[in-house]
Amino acid sequence: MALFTLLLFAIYYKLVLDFYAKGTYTTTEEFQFWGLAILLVIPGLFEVRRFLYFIYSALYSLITQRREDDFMTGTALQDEYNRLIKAKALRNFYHAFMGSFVLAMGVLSWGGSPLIMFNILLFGVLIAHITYHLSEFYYLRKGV
Amino acid sequence: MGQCPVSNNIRKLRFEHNEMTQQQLAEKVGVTRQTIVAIEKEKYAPSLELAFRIARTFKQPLEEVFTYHPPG
Repeated sequence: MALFTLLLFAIYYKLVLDFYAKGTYTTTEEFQFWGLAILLVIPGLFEVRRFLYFIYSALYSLITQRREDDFMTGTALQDEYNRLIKAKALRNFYHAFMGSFVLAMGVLSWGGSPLIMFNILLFGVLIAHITYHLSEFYYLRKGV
Repeated sequence: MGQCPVSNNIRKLRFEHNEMTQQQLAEKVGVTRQTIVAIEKEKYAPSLELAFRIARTFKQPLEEVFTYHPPG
């Protein structure tokens, strides 16, 4: 899942850079562009993850003729263990994102350009998502 | 993750109840099989409510199913 997130992010980042290279922006437009790029990537990665689990679930049911357990899919039964793992993974997501946010603001305050600041934020979202996936995996393996 | 302070006899009790599967127990108490797996392996201490539901499924008092080991 983390690898797929990386791959998806690479494609998305390439598209964003292509769009960015094509346009000429005023400062306000540049802020709008990067703001939109970051706004899209946060729910986008979560939605793709849900979609992937849906595909996995359908394939699992088709191959094994059994209903998938829906443990981490978030589509059906959400029990206390599942919720605790998700809550802890989300906490780690938040910490990773806040770390990148502080770094981005730090770079800006030291005279870095908005381009660098927005790129740090964008990659911060990626790192936060990967942290989320790895946390889920870790807590599932090691327990909570 | 630290050692879970709650141990249990779920595996033994399942065996004594017509070799009940983890999936069957999970369905009876309303959780996923993975949760039962985690509890059995003592990677997760269930909530009080779930602990009571499990004990009730086996018709046992709570202390017969779960044992608390205080740290230290």
